[in-house]
Amino acid sequence: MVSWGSKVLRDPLEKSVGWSLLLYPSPGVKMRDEPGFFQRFRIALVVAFFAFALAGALARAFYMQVIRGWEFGGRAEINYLRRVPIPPIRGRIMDRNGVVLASWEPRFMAVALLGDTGITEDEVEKLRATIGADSLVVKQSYLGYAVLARDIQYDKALAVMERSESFGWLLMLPWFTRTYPHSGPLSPIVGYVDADGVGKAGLEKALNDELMGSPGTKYLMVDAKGRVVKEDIYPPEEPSQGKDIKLSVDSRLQEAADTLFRGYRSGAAVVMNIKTGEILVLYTKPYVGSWTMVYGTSEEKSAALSAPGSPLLNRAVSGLYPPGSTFKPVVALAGLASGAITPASVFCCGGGMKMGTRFFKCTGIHGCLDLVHGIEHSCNTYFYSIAARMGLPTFLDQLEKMGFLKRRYDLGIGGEKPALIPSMDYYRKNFGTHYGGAALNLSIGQGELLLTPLHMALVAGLVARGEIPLPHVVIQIGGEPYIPPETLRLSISAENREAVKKGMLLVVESGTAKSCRLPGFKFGGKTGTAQNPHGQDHSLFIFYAPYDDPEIAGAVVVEQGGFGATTAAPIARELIRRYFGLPPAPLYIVKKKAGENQEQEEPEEIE
Amino acid sequence: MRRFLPLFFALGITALAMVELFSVGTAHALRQLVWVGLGALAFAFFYKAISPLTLRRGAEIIYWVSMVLLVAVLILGGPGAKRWFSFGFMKLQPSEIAKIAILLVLSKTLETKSPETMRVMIAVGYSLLAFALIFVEPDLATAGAVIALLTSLLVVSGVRFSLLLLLYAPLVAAASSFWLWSFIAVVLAIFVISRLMKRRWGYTLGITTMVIAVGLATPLIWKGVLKDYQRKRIIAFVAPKAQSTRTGWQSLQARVAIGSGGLFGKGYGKGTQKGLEFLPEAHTDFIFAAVGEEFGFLGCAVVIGLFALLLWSLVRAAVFIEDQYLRNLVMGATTIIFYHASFNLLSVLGLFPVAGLPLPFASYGGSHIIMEFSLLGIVAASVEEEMRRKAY
Repeated sequence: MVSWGSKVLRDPLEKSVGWSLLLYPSPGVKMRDEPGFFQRFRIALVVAFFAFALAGALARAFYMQVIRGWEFGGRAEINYLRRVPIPPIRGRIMDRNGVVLASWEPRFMAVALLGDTGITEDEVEKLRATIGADSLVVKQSYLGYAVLARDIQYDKALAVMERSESFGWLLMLPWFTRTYPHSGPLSPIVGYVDADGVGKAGLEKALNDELMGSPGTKYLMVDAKGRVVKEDIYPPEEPSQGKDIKLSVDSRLQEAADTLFRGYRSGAAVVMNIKTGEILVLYTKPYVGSWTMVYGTSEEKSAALSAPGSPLLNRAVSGLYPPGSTFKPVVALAGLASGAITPASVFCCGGGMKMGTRFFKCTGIHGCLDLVHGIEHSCNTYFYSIAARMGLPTFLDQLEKMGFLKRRYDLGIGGEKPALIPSMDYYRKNFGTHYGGAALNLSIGQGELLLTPLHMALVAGLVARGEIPLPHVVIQIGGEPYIPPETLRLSISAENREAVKKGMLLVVESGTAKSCRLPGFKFGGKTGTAQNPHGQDHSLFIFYAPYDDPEIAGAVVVEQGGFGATTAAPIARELIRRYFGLPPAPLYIVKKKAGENQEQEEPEEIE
Repeated sequence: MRRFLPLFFALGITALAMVELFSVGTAHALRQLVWVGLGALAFAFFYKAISPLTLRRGAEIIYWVSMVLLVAVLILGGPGAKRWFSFGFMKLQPSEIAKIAILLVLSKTLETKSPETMRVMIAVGYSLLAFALIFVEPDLATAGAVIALLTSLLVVSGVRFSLLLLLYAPLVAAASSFWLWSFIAVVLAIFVISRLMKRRWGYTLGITTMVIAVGLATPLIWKGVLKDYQRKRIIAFVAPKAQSTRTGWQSLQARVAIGSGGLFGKGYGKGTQKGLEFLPEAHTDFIFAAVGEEFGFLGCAVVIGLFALLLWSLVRAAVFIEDQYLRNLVMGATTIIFYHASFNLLSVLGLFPVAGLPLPFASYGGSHIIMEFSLLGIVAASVEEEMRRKAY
């Protein structure tokens, strides 16, 4: 303890002060009698103020640095750490022979690292002048970086990198641009990506996750202005590359289809391997090339999209057509399955059939025919008779049992539709009890019935083999083969099916499509002409080949192509010829018999 | 030794700051060496070449000259805030000279034992003139130093507390009057304190009435008389930087810098906040943040510890001196230095708003380094004068 002495000396300055009560409970304590005590006390008062401030600063520093240090450490890292993505290589898409349809090319993307001020207009202008990108998009991002431009060519990127002192805020990262070297007529299957490299249509969209892979991360240290100070302050996380995809489609055959359709405005063709379910040709016209959709100018895009005939509609899977006579094999199958007819059932054609007050016309007078020849000559009367014998409810019931028609086949290319077959309820509502005529109409593929070219191909294929593995276009994802999970089957005896198959053979050998037979090669087919209220009739043809142990089946639709035998059938014949590698052969010239209207299927109403 | 102890600790702070300055930027550090050299010369000048007694004789002249300089800078200074004259190589800040001038004139005015009310009024007058001239520059924080200096010297030179209460009560009343409960607390406190001073009831009633009158008048003037744009102008004038997001950002980055330093710091030259320019003023007002980032809590503790030792050594000198004028000089110098130090440290640590005051002996800059070493020179000379007297 400090000894304050015993001298009684009052401070001359502070005679009247009583505030010491605050400090000492009882007045008269000797302490304040020390000489200079009051001066010291007043000095201490001032000093205490600053000492308190210093102690506060020390306590605050301890709190911030030791107690909450980790938190501020994180904040400091947020300041300087930038995570930028390393884009993965997008998987390629190839056809069945390894022809690359969609691939990638190395390019660069310009990524701005955002400092505390963001990107200025001047800096963007400077970049625009250097890389010459008109479509420089400044997307401010909250990730600490913004992607300014993609698809920058090597020389342009080099020009930027050489001037790193003026582009310190800019980072050139690798970017893999999408290319479509051979997509052409395969574009509707392949689809396309958007500017960010994400699939927008077709398989690019459906299999985007598989194709894309996942991006890696690069860790950079930036300063307050967003300039890169140090790269890879943590080891980068490598991207996982996307998977390659192999299609069942044969690009040569698809391109052949494109050539064969040259004279026609629109249509579709489907060819599939009915032993495996692999689709070989899935052609639609018109179409827009993938390249145009990704890299075309906006004028090119809008011109392509506004072109007549809805070019974005994939007619092969989404186009719904009245099947016309190509539906007759289905009617035959229904009749056989229901027991209404046998292959030996004979109906006689006198030029048509009367039902109620209406007369349903045939294309000619065919006389008495059995099933095989009914198909061969596409005799309407024969099929009217089948329908009349079955009755509409049984007919629809049989179609229902052939599940493949009402089914939607998800190929992954988007827009796939099921066939449209009205229900019994529909007919009762619209026709009351007089639906007999509707059954007759239905039996020649007219009326409220609509099929896609894919469904038409399945009709031919099922007639040919009785069973087909589920149709698909993707056969490999990242080297792993795709195995169809199920098989489409016809529940009909082989004997009955053989009769229909035989009928389709005769169509080509000696029937409505005899001009299209191939020398030394037997295949089956069925022509069809679908009424088109908007113009000339649609020309249809379905086929399987070869006759012995059928391997492929398909359908060709030429919109406003006229008769099936004159337009669609020659295209199908050419596709078969190319698939099997047969020598070119001219079409046979068929002399038209007088009085025989080749294929006038329109029923006429008489009073 | 007593004379040079403050200089010793101050140089310790300077040395530590210099080490950090070399980490921030060599160019600034080398120029700072020049300023510290000039500061040493200033110390020697005030310690040896000119006696505190000579300064005492010329105190008023020095004061008025510095006031003229303050007026001149208002006319000629700028651009922007009119705080300094720009010469090619340096910026002269007249308010730094004014601080020394006010220290001298107040120390002289308040040296008489038992100061009369008149002397206190003269001291207040000197201070208010200087305060007003610096305030309109505008530089509220530096103007505040004048008020702190006046208050400190009034306390140290033995002005009766009853008079001090009379002087400061209206200010406290006006400041507290914007919130009812704080105003009531202030009125009650002033009533009780005035009773404890054992003055007559007239004093108590008078001061309480004055406090209530001021407290009621202030909001009335603020809301009734002043127009909206005038109020906004006053707020913008008193707290201009509080509105600037840039300053808020700096303050945040300073806290991030200090906090991320942790216990031991990131290591010399490895600070990311100052190194990557997130803290652009790391060399001037935010030098403490840079130290905190690179040397951690230990570095901060050493700096604060050196300031504590400096405070102790100055107080030791003040207690040693018996002459009121010389003691006023020492305590005034202490007040100026620690007003800046406290304000700077607490604002960098995020407890106060950023005021733009340098850290004494540490921040890069010419005027304030020279001024602070001059103050230490005056302190050393005062101690020497006292020692000479005691030797007789």
